Amino acid sequence: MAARSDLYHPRPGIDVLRWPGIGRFLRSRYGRLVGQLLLLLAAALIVYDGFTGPQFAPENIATVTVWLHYRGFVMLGLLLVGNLFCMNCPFTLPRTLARKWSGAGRRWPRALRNKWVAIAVLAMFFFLYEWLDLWASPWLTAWVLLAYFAAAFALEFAFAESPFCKYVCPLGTFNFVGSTLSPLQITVTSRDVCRACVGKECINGSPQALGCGTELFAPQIKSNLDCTLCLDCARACPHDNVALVARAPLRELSAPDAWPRRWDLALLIWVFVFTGLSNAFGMTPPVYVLEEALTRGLKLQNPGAALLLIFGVLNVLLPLGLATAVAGLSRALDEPRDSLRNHLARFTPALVPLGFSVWLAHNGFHFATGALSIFPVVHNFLLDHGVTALGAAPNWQLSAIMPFTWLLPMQIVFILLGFGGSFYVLGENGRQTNTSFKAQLPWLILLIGLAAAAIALFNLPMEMRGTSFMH
Amino acid sequence: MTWLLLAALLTLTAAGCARASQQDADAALRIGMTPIPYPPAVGQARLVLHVTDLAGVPIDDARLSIKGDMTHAGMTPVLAEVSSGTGGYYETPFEWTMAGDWIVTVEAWLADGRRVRERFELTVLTEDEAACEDGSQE
Repeated sequence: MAARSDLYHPRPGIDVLRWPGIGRFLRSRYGRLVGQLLLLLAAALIVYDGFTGPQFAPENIATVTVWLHYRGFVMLGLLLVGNLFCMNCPFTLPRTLARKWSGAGRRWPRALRNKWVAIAVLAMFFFLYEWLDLWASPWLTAWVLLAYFAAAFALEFAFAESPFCKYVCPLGTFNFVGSTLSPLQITVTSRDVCRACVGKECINGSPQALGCGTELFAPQIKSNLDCTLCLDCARACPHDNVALVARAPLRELSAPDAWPRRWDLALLIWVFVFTGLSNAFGMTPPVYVLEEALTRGLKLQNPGAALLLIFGVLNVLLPLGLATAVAGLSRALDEPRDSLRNHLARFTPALVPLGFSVWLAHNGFHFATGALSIFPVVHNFLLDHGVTALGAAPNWQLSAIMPFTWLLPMQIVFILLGFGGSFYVLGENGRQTNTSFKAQLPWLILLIGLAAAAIALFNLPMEMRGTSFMH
Repeated sequence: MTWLLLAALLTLTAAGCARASQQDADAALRIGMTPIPYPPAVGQARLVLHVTDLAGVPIDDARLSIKGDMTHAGMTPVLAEVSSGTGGYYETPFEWTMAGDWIVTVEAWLADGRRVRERFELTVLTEDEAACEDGSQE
């Protein structure tokens, strides 16, 4: 008798790809292209205004859309739907062109088939954000977008798969982690159809559509990690067997077998959480005090060196150290003892809800205080080009979408909800793996500490100084 | 299609290199700004602006529009207007809502319709830092 397959057992649920209208559109050949073209137009406008418009962040489309609207919408999208940005990513539009030019291409090196490069790029991106004050520079923001296009094209040209998305892109890396909370996930309607399928077009591609760029096999998908929600699998499947199904909240995070047990994957989650805290910390008075103290104390010549030290510790060394300590203590208190790697992999998913809530609170703050500013900014852009249809002067008072006094309570609610989600995942993972409460305690203390740190951080006044052009 | 879009992107960027704002100022004036108290700190303050022509002759009939922004996007700007001066000096209440780096844009419109725009960069201190400054100066 043949061994039983471990293909995923789909459960009945809402399948967005079967919804009238939108389902057919998403499955169609141009379903993704429309969204990508819209974002490409937005990217073109951002690059144009970033290079040629007022070099003043509050009045430039580049800085307002990227650092306010993108950051706010991406969090909302991940929380309410899924990886919508990657679904509509304009940076991979030249993918087909690159493949036509390159032919088969080489495979991504085996030694790099992990998240270490992605972690390094993500940490570097957040350091550059602080050091170069990307948020305050329309010119640099435009260059960031061009760099994304260039990197995506170069990697698609050089390699046979989509290594940019899966192994490099910091936006995608961030979104992959956030999407582990998302309510939608790719799956298949019937596993028997997949078992009998010869061509496996969902991953190999078909004449109608490319296969999965990140090489996920649809019937075995248990996690949104590495899923760009491109729906190429759905378009390529000759049996129309791929579904985009709703799932219970926190289901992926509380399934112990949903993620592979790898060091790089675990550390990625820790970096995601700690960069959320450090990114907010970088906008508060203590960071300037610390920067000044380090510069004086260590007699540093370059202010960037102090920032590298601060954010290198906060974003890499501290999570690495704490992860080892917490997992090590948890392992020491558990019986029978599992490996350190397995202990780390078992409970690290519990950090995601709290980490996500920190990012949501921070990005949500900036979105809430400035979302409406896009109107006077666009108005100003039109005036710059001689279009006066909207009036002679922009209404610069348009900015916030809620009273300022609502913001801190909103942030605290997000943190508390995130903590609640993390607490649930910790308990569920502990219960399903028969881990004693004693062994879960270090993780619980960690979660309490992170939540307290986040609440203290958001209670600090915001302060932005040391902007590069003001030196 | 991809070729067209990439070409459009390059063309827009190239064309934009020559972009000139339709709103560029066209008057020959000088504007100076002094925040009071100085150095500025979070909270209520006053701005004193000095408007003269290039020869230093004070101008009292300009209409000034003042916009204070922080260097990052997303903060509601602080707006003020003042329409008459004495000896070229104009004064208006102003609130520094947050500590950090600010850019204050002052636009002056003359009676004949000409205007000029100046930007001033400054750093607003926290109340504690301002108190330390006061203490060190005593």
